[in-house]
Amino acid sequence: MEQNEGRTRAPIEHAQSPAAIPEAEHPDYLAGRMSDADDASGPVDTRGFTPVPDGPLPDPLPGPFPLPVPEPRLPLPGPFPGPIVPLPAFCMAVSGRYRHVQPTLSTPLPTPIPGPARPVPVTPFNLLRITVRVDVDRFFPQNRISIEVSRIFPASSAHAIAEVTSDKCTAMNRRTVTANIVYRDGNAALIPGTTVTFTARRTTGLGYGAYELTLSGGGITPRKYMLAFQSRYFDSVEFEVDRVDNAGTIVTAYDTGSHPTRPATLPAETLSLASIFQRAGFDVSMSPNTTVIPTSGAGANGTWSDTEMHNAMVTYWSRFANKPQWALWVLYAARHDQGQSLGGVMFDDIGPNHRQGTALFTDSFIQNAPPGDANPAAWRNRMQFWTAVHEMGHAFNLAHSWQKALGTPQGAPGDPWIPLANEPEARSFMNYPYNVSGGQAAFFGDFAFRFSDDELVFMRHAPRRFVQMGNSNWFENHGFEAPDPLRHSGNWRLSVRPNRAENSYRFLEPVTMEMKLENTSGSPVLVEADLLADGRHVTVFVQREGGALRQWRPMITRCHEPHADRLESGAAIYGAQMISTSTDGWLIDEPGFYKVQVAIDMGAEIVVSNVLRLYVAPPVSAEEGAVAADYFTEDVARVMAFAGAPQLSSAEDVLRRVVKTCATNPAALHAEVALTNPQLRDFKVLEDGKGGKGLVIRAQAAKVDQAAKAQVAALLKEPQKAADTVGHIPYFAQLRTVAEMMEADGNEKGALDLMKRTVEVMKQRKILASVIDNAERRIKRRG
Amino acid sequence: MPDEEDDDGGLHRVEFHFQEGFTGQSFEILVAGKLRASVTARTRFQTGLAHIEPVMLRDGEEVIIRQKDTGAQRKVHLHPGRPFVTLTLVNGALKIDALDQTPGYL
Repeated sequence: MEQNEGRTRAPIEHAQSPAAIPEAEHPDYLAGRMSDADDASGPVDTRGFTPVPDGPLPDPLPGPFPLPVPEPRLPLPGPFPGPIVPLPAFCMAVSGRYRHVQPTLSTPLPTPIPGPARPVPVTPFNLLRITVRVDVDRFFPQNRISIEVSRIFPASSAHAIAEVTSDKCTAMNRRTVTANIVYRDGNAALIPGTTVTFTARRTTGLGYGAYELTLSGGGITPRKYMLAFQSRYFDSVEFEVDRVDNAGTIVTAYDTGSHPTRPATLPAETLSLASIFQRAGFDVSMSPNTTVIPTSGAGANGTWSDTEMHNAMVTYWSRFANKPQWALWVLYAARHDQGQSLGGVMFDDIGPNHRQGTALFTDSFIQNAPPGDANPAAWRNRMQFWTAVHEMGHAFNLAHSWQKALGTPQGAPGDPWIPLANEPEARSFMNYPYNVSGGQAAFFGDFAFRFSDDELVFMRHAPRRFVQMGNSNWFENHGFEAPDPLRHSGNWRLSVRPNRAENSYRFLEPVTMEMKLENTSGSPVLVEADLLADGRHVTVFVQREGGALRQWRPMITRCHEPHADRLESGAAIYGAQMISTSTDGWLIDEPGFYKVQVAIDMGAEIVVSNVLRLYVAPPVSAEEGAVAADYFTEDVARVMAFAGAPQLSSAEDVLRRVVKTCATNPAALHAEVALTNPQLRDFKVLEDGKGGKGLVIRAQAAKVDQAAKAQVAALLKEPQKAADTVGHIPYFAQLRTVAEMMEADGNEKGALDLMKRTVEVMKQRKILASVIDNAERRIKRRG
Repeated sequence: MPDEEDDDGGLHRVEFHFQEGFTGQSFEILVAGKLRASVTARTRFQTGLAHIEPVMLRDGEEVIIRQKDTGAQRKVHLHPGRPFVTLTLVNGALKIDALDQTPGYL
């Protein structure tokens, strides 16, 4: 990747400065919807709620928030002549981009410590990134809702476009838009159903406060997604305009009233490159890094080849990178190698990332006003401005108006993204003005300085890779999308590991994975200390090779008050989870290879771990095979997960059988711990009381000595083997529990001895010095 | 310039603009029965242009465009004052026009 930051910049002279009509006053701007229209068959007549018919809309008109609204219907004093006609309700504009948000389930964490802001997750894990683009008002509404779903992990994506069939304003800022899905791309299962319903309503104020998307139809159970408004635009893009020093004064804005050949209804205003694309739905920023390029860059002949322009783009464009990005370089040069016949070109079909650069040529036929033209100077300005937008349109992967039907479906290069009809007479930036019937005068006499509806649908709603610069190759837009690469901020590193020498497990042996989340941001951050341990924030997927991918759902999740701790740069938090069992059964219950991957939602990004491949050996004895059918059951899974469940007696029987008949299998160690763990304390069980007493709680008396002896034997007889199979974190936690129970039971000496032996194993296992230090301090406190 | 003439008079520059519909087909331009130029044309969608081939012609010379792979050929009717010959391939057939001004590409 190359960047050109820091290059000397020079201001560029522009022929005119932009001053477009404010949108609220523009006749093409649709500010919202009245309650008396309930379908999308035609645009709302905004004159009905303007103070002056055909005049401008009230200012400020409903933008996202403060707005003039119909007066509330207050009780009127005394008798009033004639019937009172209620004012129609008005719903403000809703077009724009939304994203799916999940309701917050816990209290926000305290304000982060100084330094780069690092979001701390306070919501449940969000596997789906959903972006919704609603297009029913503002400039040139296309009556579409498009949905972009990206399942971060396991990676998959989908895109759907729905055509609006109903758009209702049922009360003040209570709007419901219904649409039928007509186009799909990617993994259709991610966007089930056939109908999309978007609702926007007030909550506490006058403006919209709640947005929701519902997918329904096609026999599915309706799915609802809470949305948050992101932008009135569908995407953001940055343009950088550079000029070659002999290109003269360049035209980046045009006064639509300056040439007499124009539609009578065309408002006189000064349009800029930015305003054209803003009205097409993009949040445009103009790069301040404009450059005047010396003529020498064009080579010895002084004209430009496509390759020379590409090289210039690499050199002079401050944003150049070999990657997809919403950014475009626009070059104004004098002449192309082809000569005067080339007025402009989207030259960038070179290299791995197309459509990043366009050029127009000021010394070309676009300077040749027709003989006898009423205002040749305005004609030239208009043609240069029009050409710049035209070439920039190519960078958005727009074809010429007469080329839209080129290619055949099924994904060959040149295919239209959806079947399209040619528009040879379109009054669009993408047509050639001089090729329509009647020539350029007929074109500009009916040209409203906009893209066609088909083009706007493509720019606003097509799968974004088709449109985004540097993404799909020029003119190729039917290829199946590889899932979006995960976005990495570099602030976190998540790893999953077994903490044992080999990733191989015996048949029946529960698999425990240790997770490590490291702060790689370079600054201290606040992070929830139990993020990896509480079972609420991590998502684990397990896939047996050749089998289905399954999500691990922990049998235990721990809810607690948020407590964010300072995590220094380079430091990490840890957690361990037994992933063999899930709430819907055993995930690892057959011999073979498995893949394990973990992800965690850090708010601003999904952090994904390495993929760990592990092996589960076949049974080594007839007993292991024989017990499998009884062992891989939900009850046994619960006993193992809860480290004991005396009420599940049949499951405990199975574990006793494992201890007895599969003694060399590490599963026997787990079974021993699970069987004896409840005996470390008085263990309460719920029983059916006799004599009609209903359910009663009964405490089983602790047998600490007996249980501790069994556990110490299991955990310390072969400590390396035990630590390998149980996993560092749960292994040392269990030893500590045993010691504490012994201590509480009055066996201080035994507890102290166990603590010392635990530290020895910690040192042998070379675990974190801080953990060993803590354990030794606990020993010291006990004298 | 396309309309330039040599000192003898009658020698004109004519530009053959291979525009839309070409996907790599090869053509020969035959002048008075002799091969004058070979062209492989592939339309560039950005501009709607595949190739521009300038050829110097004398008045009255017969020009034939022959598609190499199919052998199909078309006689080009040249018009005085229309030195820009545009060729497009539509459903496998060549469409040929002559213009008085250079076609512009964008």
